[in-house]
Amino acid sequence: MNKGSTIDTDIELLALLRDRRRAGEGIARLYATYAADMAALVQRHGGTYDDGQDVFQEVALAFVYSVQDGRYREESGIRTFLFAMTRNKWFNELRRRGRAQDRAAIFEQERDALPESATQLLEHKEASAGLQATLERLGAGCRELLTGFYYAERSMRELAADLGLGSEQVARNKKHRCLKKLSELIESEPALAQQLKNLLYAP
Amino acid sequence: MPLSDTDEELLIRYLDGALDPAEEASLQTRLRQEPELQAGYERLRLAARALHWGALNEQVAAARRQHEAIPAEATARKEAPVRPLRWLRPALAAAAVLAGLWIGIRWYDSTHLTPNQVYTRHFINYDLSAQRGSDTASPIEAAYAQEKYGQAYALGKEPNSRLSPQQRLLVGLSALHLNRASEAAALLQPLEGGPFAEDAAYYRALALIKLKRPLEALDLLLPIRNNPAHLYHGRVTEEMIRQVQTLD
Repeated sequence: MNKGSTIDTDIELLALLRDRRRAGEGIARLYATYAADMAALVQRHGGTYDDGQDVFQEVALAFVYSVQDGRYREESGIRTFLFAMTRNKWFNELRRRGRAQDRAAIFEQERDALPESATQLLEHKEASAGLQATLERLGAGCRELLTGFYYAERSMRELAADLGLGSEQVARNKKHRCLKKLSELIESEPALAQQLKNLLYAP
Repeated sequence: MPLSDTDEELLIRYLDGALDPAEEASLQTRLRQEPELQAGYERLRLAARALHWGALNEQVAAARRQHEAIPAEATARKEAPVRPLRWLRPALAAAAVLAGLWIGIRWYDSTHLTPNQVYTRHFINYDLSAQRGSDTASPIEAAYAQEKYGQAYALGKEPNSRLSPQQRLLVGLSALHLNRASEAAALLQPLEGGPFAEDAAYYRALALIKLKRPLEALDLLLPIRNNPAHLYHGRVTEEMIRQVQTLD
């Protein structure tokens, strides 16, 4: 691939991923550009089509979080970084399945070194499942309001109007109650709280 | 001891970056001195980060569903309603035996092919009518359209000839027609990333098959197979992948 165009594509993609209001567009582009290649890497090393898609979903989540959290420092191109993450994730999966034999051993030799902050984000299944259950207990109204503010970086005025909350102040009061409730729900499950701390704070 | 409502409110406003500088400095001093206040702040910060992760998790899952939607729709279209008739059963049983036999023969066949046979089975003539780019036919395009591959190839190899991406593709394809797989692969490789990247990937994979380099061919073919939007997705079947894998 033309090197200049790869750099331009990387810059555009990173700008989209960092802009929380356009991150969805960026993630769709990440999928369109890289999912097939990364899934093929898994298939080349003993995985099925579904394995490839599962691995890429987890890699994509970890990668986008790294970008938005400032952990991805662009020391390598996106493709190289995703390849390294995919190799690591799939090798760990092979080990978990007890298939770390010939093929996996060769694969291990090729495995690229990844920063600890990136490898930590690749093992999140348990924490993600626990968090999803907790967010469901929080309720749709709170979830929508909090996600709109803390993830999508929308203003209280926009959220108040879109969610029919009357005024900005009403929306703000509700947001405070919801955030407090969420922090209490997480605190009530010490194992989940610890998993989230391990996952979400850079080492 | 639980925090007062006032302190909770203060911490949330601090987390949101909504305190004025004096309030912020005062709170930071208290956070250093009051472990319970600090713990309360950490709980809220973790909740906000968890929301970030949870929202991203949903967005990535949605992107995957969207990415996989095309094959799902294609499968749904294939599932036409069927109304089996009782008298058809014996005929269907016989057909099943024949189908099993046919599959067996196909399987044996597909696992005992030479690189050249795999290449020949999957080579399709490039359709110039579907060309993208210039409206005016260049001498290379004209020669290729008339199946004068030697001439198209010679024109492309002339010293100082500056090839457009489409002309390079046609010269690469001409090289393939002339059994110059190595040169074809070299000509097609720089097209990756350009307007003819999808054509180049498919034909370079064929050149690599001919050159007995199936693993490199698979590196190009599997992404095509996994990408329903790829121009050559329909051509790269599971059977083709299996055939190339058995060449390894």
